[in-house]
Amino acid sequence: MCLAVPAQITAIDGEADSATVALGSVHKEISLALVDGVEIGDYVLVHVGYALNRISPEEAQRTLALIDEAGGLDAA
Amino acid sequence: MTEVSGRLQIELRRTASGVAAAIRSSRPVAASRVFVGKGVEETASLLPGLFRVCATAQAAACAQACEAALGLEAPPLVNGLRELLTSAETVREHLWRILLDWPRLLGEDPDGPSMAAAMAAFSRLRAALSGDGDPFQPGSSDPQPQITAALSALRALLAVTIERVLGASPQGWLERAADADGLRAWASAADTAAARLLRAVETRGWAALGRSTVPDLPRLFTGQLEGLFVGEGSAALAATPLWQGGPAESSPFTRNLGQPLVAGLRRRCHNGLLPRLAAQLAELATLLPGLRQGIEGLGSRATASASPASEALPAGVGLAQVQAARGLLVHRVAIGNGRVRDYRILAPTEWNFHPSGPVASGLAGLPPMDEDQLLGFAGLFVIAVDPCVDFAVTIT
Repeated sequence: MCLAVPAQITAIDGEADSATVALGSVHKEISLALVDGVEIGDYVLVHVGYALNRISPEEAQRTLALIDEAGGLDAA
Repeated sequence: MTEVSGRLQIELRRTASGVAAAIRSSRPVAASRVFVGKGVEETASLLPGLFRVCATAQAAACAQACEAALGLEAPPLVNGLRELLTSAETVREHLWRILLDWPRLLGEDPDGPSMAAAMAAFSRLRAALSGDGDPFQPGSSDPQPQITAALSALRALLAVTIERVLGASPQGWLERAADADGLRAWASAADTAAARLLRAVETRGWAALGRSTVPDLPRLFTGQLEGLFVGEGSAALAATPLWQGGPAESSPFTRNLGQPLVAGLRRRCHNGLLPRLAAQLAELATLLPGLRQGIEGLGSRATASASPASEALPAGVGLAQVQAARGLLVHRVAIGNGRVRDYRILAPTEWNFHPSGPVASGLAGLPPMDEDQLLGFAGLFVIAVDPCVDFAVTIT
């Protein structure tokens, strides 16, 4: 389904308005064009290369636990 | 994270007669099984947090399915709030494509500031209409929407649409672009990325490309849907749904065929590219005034919304159909002793990006073209049908 996955910001490139996020061992560049005021260490929801919004660490952990519970989210 | 969310891999192969297309999906279509064993309230709270992209439509479908299973009936005001917020989410999702993806396909920068403003307006609208409560909790009965704040948020959403998309009020746009000639005149004159994209589509001769004979998914009654979920082929339903043995389409295009502009374009271009882009613009222009009327009328809402009757369902089973941004979203839940026993979701992307569906068939019907043109058209066509996950188009 239409998942947006929580990820933690590990680096910010202010000039490019982008960030590096980590989900486990996976790192990825995302755009920060749609969010304001995020900082390194914050959790954001990521969808198709954009940070959608900042979420609390508790909400991030809750969502990640739910995704884990779904058993790795089998492919179709 | 894209990998966790799933993605669509669309592989094109040029042949002597045109193009062959193969679509592979890694979307987590069985993720709803995570709710099995959980309580109803917990499920309704957690589910929109998992399916974030169209969380409002998902929350509405969850609430309605659970209520149907439990024999509850939501009050008219609650149904009204759910419908309004789901429509507002459709506006937001159409704006996402139009403001972020359409410029990119023209070689322009995505309009991030306008999309950020639209997302903030949607969040304020949702908070205002929800009041202190949650209209998406099954059995929700006493919402206190804040009408003034909701109308203020809606004005912000409207301002983005007028200034950055339509270049006119929604009503003015609908009058001007009432038919194909009017749409062409608007696209020639307006100074927005949406208008420039439509101009480019006409100039490149792409308006009617992408046609296929895949039929529209008809309006389905609850009993017919239940047949899909429990009948032959039900195991494959969530990933590769079929209706009457074949693929079908449920999208903003099929949903807006009642609009004169879209119906007229269909006569000229069948289900090719231009009618699909026009359908998203027309729906945007229609939903925004409808949202204002709906919010203003909340206080006097007296009749129940039309929701499908729960005929032909076993005890404890509930089905809900919601028109999400990208097409029909169906939830089916089985509840026993207050716990979810089974939870399944059928989402529009699975119809529209079925291996034999409208995208695969539309791309396979393309005439011979060079590689750059093929990649450019395919990317735009996929965006126009609008999957809810990331995708990649490759030529092999």
